[in-house]
Amino acid sequence: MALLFFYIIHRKLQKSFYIVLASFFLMFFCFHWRFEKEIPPPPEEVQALFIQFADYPKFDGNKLSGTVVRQQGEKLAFTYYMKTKDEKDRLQHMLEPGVYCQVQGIFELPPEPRNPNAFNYRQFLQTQKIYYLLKVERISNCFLQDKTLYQKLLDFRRSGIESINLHFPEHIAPFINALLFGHDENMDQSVEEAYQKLGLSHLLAISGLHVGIIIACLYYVLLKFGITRERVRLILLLFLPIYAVLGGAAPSVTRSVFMAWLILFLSKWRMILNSLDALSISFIIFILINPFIIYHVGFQLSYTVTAGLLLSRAILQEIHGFLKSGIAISLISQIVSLPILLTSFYEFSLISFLLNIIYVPLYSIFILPLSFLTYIIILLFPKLSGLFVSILTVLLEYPNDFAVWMNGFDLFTIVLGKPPTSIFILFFISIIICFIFYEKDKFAKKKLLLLTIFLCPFILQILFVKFSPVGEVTIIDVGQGDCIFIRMPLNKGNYLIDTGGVLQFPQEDWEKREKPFDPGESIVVPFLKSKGITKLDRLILTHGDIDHVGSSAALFNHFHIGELVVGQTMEKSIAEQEVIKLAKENNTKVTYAFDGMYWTKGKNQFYILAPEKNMKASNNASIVVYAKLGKKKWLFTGDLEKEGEELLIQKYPNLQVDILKAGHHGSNTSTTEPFLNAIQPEIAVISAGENNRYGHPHQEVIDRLKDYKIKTFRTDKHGAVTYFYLFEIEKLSTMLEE
Amino acid sequence: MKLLKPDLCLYCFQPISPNYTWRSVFLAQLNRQICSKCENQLERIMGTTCQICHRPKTETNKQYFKDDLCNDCIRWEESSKWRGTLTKNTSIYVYNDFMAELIAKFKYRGDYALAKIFAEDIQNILRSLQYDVIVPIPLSEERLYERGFNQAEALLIEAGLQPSNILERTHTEKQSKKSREERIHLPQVFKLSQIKPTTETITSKQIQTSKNQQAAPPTNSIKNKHILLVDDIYTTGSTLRHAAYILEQAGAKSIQSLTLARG
Repeated sequence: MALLFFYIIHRKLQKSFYIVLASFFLMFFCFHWRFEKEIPPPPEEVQALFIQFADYPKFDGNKLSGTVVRQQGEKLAFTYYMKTKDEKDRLQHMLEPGVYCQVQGIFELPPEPRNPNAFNYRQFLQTQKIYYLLKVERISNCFLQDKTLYQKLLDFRRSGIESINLHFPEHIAPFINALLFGHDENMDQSVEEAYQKLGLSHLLAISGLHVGIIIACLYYVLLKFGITRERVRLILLLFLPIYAVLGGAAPSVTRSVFMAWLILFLSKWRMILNSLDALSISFIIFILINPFIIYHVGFQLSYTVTAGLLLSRAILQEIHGFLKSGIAISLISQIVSLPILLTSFYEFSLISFLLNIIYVPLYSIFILPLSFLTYIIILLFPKLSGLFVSILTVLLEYPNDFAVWMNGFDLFTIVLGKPPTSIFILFFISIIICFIFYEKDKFAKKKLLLLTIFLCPFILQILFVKFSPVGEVTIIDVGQGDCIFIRMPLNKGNYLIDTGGVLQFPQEDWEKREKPFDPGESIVVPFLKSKGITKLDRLILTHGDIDHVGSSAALFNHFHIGELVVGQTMEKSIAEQEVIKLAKENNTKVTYAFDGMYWTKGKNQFYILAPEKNMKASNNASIVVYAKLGKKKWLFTGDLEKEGEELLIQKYPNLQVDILKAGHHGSNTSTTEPFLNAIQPEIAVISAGENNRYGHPHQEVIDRLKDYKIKTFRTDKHGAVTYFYLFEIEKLSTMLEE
Repeated sequence: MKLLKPDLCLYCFQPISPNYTWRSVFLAQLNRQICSKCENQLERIMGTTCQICHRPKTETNKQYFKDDLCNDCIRWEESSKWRGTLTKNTSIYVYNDFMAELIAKFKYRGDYALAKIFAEDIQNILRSLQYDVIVPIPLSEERLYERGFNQAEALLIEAGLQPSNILERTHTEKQSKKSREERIHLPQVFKLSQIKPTTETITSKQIQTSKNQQAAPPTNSIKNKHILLVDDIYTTGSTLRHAAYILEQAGAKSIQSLTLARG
């Protein structure tokens, strides 16, 4: 909330002050009224509900998802798992915007984030005015009624996307589609990642540049045809909203189209509207329609960068020369977007602004106009399109390869972690102060002071986030699996025990997802980056099951791993062997751990209590880590079961444990009574997936823990469980309330 | 709809597009008086200038300079009567064609509002000057009647300052119709005013007016004070020096001047 109000104030300042004040209060009441209104009713089950598809749904393997509209006009996020290939083909053929279907299913509130700093799906849907999920079990009686103009436009957009897919090579088409229709799916993953990390993604989002080019071209062409200026303006006023729909209606598209439309519209009465005023007005309207849009990253970036550049117009005017002003523009964009990039992606690229100097002109002068031209040629003279297609292919292939190559150098990526709200605000304040002083005298005076002001948020960010004095142990919620993050204060050591992972069941081709869910990529990597982590000093894999080692590849991909610790066991699983191979390829030291090893790190002590040397790899041969962290003594038992527990208490009968990570996700084969009796923990944490197929944790275990009066936390109920410690202060917190 | 109606330029009456910058938005400096096109024609004096009269030293006129003084000022300083009378002049703008037009419109054609254009620049300059009393060059009564206002006083008032009218001027031919020789050897046209009931003194920085309702003799407000004379244009420096001479005789410690333009 604080973040959000800050944003409003920040943005509102762009307008003259009396409007600021008025709109601020308006906004406040509007918000208040909204939040009052949106108290969620309990989820309900529906037997026969008529829904209408708002757009083309997405078919990904056996999952069908999209946006549908209930009769009352309420938007819902729709998901359905198709049962057969026939059904998929049939639905693929039938479902399009405007189609009505009768469905049976349940309403659910979209899930809240289950891990610190994780993607907030509920909020994401709210940015699109969607408040409920509709999980469909059966779909029937689909029929199509007369289409509205809007739906016809969506059809036209779809056919455009399809014809681009037809004419362009597979690895190029998604880029053209993104540029022309704002359709950014099916992109090559390595290129997409490179663009994102290098700060080039904005090139693929339709924005003011596109709208400007379109207006300029139409204006010129129509005037050449002898149409009067007034008519041209009218045509443009009608065409721009159509273009917004064709362009996918993302916030950046709507923003730029609306601004251009407003300026054109008012020019009819010779009213000159400043771009910044147009920006502010469009912002206010956006917020009035949907206050949650403020959480949309694209929206935040689009407005912040545009406002930053518009405010810097005076500065830019004084910079002459193509290259110099190019550098200035990318530098300003980079600086003003930095706090948002850090908040959303936790990292930024140092060479981003240099690359933009090359890529921005390449896209705006060559690729984008040529894409428009090629599309028109495809529409009018499909036979002639070949030449243009191959030119565009070359124009995109080399920059894409170059971006992927550049992304290979991790050197330029600075991971700082997610700034807390206070530092986030400080970033903006320091940026504004620096710009004000630059505008005044180009930093002629008080250079040192200004450098300090500029660096201050960075330094605070590094001190409090990257090298946090607070130690932490987080049992990350990776679904069914284990993943525990240990961080010693002042970045003295970051350990990860297991990685989580998803067991893939054999699937038919039609069922396979484009991007199978990997908890490493989607949960663990963002979590660690949000903490500003670039290096894991030790990755401890307790044993070789997929739900413990499955996401190792993602971790090796994103982090420097100092040492891989695996059990000194025989007949390791294929998955574990692969990880060891991967470690060797990455020049990571591999240590084979067994009972009796120990090390200390500052005041923190670590002991390996199992397995015994050369055991046969199994759950009972899990590495057991005993650690003193903060004021607590921890026992991490991996998937240790009854036999392993027996062995453990036999060898260490006087083991004192405060917090136990219960073995094997709370299975009834672990956490046995003699074991609990021997170690007497205060707290137990169970890492299990929500509604997992094994029924973990078993009720017996829960009861057993209850009998022993052990406070129990479960990741399936509480989300991630975190223990913080700072000197003598300690705190245990969970992501979700039970 | 009034919100959307833009302000008009005081000089050319074209709409002013608001010039949003980091400073104007976050420090709330939004009042612009003239449009960018006119503003760009105002040429501020920058670079090296004559240390006394503030004449800009350029490539084309540098032969008229000796070190950091211009020949004119050297000639003034050679005369025992005028030496050190005017310690320093500060001018804001170059007297170019646009400035000439602007000043003509302002003082001869009576467009008083144009004084607002310069308010901010005058305030800024005043901040960098040290003075005790600020004195506009007066007009003779006939001329004041003719024009309706004293341009030097108008500039100060619009900049939010209270001028001290402690000088008076006897009526003569317009300065602009005279040659340099005539101007220098002019008989004294200024005298200290005797019967001004509201003598207001301004102390620098504090811009605070101490209203002496009693008719204080003006010499009191001059003696051992640093005086700043204000006029619209500095052409030969003759007017300012004549005024300065009178003040010097009356016991002023130092006399500087500020003019809008340097002719």
